[in-house]
Amino acid sequence: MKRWAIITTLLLMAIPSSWILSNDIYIEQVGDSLDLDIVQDGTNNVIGTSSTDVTLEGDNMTFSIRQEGNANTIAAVIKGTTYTGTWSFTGNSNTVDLLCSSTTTGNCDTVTLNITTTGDSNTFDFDIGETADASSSTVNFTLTGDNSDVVAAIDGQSVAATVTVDNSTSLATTSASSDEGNAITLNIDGDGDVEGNTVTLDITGGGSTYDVTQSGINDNYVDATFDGDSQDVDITQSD
Amino acid sequence: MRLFTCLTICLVWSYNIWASIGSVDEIKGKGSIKRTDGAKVEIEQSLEVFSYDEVTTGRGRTAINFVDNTRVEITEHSKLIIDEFVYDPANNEGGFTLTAALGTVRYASGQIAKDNRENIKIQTPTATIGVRGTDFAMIVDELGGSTIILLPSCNSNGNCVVGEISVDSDVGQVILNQAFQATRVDVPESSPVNPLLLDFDESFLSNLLIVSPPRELDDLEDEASVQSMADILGLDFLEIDVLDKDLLAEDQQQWQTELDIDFLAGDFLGDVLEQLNKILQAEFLSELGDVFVKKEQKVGQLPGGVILLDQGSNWFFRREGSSSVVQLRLSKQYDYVIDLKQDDFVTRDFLIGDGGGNSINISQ
Repeated sequence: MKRWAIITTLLLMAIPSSWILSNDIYIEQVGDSLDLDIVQDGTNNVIGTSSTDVTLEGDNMTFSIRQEGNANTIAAVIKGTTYTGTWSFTGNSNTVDLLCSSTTTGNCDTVTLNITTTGDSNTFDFDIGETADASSSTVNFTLTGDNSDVVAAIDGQSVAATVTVDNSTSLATTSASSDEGNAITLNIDGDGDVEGNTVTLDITGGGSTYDVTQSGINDNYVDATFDGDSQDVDITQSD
Repeated sequence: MRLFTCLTICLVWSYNIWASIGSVDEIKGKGSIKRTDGAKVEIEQSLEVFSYDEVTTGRGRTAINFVDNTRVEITEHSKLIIDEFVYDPANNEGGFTLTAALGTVRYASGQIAKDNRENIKIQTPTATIGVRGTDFAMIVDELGGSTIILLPSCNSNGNCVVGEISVDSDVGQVILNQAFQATRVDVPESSPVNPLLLDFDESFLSNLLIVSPPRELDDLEDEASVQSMADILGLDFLEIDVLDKDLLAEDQQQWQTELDIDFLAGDFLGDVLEQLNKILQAEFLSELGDVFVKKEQKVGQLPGGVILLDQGSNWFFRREGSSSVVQLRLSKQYDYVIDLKQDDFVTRDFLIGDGGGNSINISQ
């Protein structure tokens, strides 16, 4: 018996600590007025995957996530009008993939999404409205850190997207072998209504790449503030 | 059936060859029209004009009104070739191709440009102008280099609108959409230079080059006018002994007096054209250079519809497109190169600070 206890202890010690600390959450929910808050603390936490998403369907949803730690993953699909989300990440090497209205049966109108992340080497992919216009979308993205990759595609009629980046502590602009800057790609499609589509950039720090594309008609607006060196910025407005 | 269609098209085409497509509305001085059969006729008032005519002016200027109300004015020592003109007034359909081969030609759109603008083709030896219903002038030098200036279109009530034209060379295109914007194409293999907004109005341009020279007073009118001015000033010309003065001795540079200038003389206009072209080329070349140089920023309204303002610690850069706006606040601590592209063809480089550091590309 004692021998078995020793073997079991040794086996437990041999298991990677990440196995022990990781949480995997998979959700499928249908119904209106969902209010869901998820808090994950640790490394290698998973909320949905590319093959097993978090799927939330219904109107008037509030879905908030807070992850603290490294190497966390979120893959979520949201269907329904009037979605409010507050997503907060603290850590490095996190991956976020959000689809809003990913099928023909789902709508994605009146989205308010506030995303705050502090950390480096994160990957964010947001697709809101997809091929159908989201009638109103407000997306606020705040990134403090370096070497992150953010891709946001919004197909909406009156989109207000605000991106605030601070990588002023980065060495991206001062050392060839130093940190890399961030890569931010915003693609705003869809024709603006009377309010038009607006992109606001507030950038502190340098060495990053920003690509902004507004391809719908009516009142495309980009308002950007840059305080940093060696930025590579492309702004394309077409209709 | 196919044969019948072909015959019909041929008949319409042949009819349009031999039908009058317009007439001379104005002639001052001398000019001639060379017909397709080689015959050369002197331009006179109301002379009919046909497709494939070549209009050449010497010491004279003329204006032609076409049947679709297109108007073309041709100044001294210029050559215009009417390549083709087809117009069906019943349906307001047609097409118009002409070439400004030399000198200065002003074009004012007619009905064809309103309804079939894709069928309008205005050419110079180095450029092709796409008309979108508006007025413009073409200045073509002896080597084919062409300066194109967009003009406002004004009606008899003085109400003016500004249309849009595209100017193409073999390798590029620019769009002119502001009154007195100009571009130049030296050779077909070069891109049209970035549009330049000329700082003068239509009356200046018209008096200088295009429409009509200042009205010449006849001698009596001139004398009366001078005497009237003398009366006001209390001068008695008889008291002034101009013969006592040796004007040439006083100023060797004064080689020509105002009275010696013949405003209709070809050499004078040629010189003016040459000087204007030199000025425009210099302006264009300066446009290609840095807009902002070494911290000595130009602020206010800048070429390309850009506004740059000094806001203390930031530069404020704003450019408004047809349905889009980009505005930037740029920290003065850093340097910027802003490449502004309009409609995929027109590009401008703005350098802020020393021009290094940040690269910003804006396409509208």
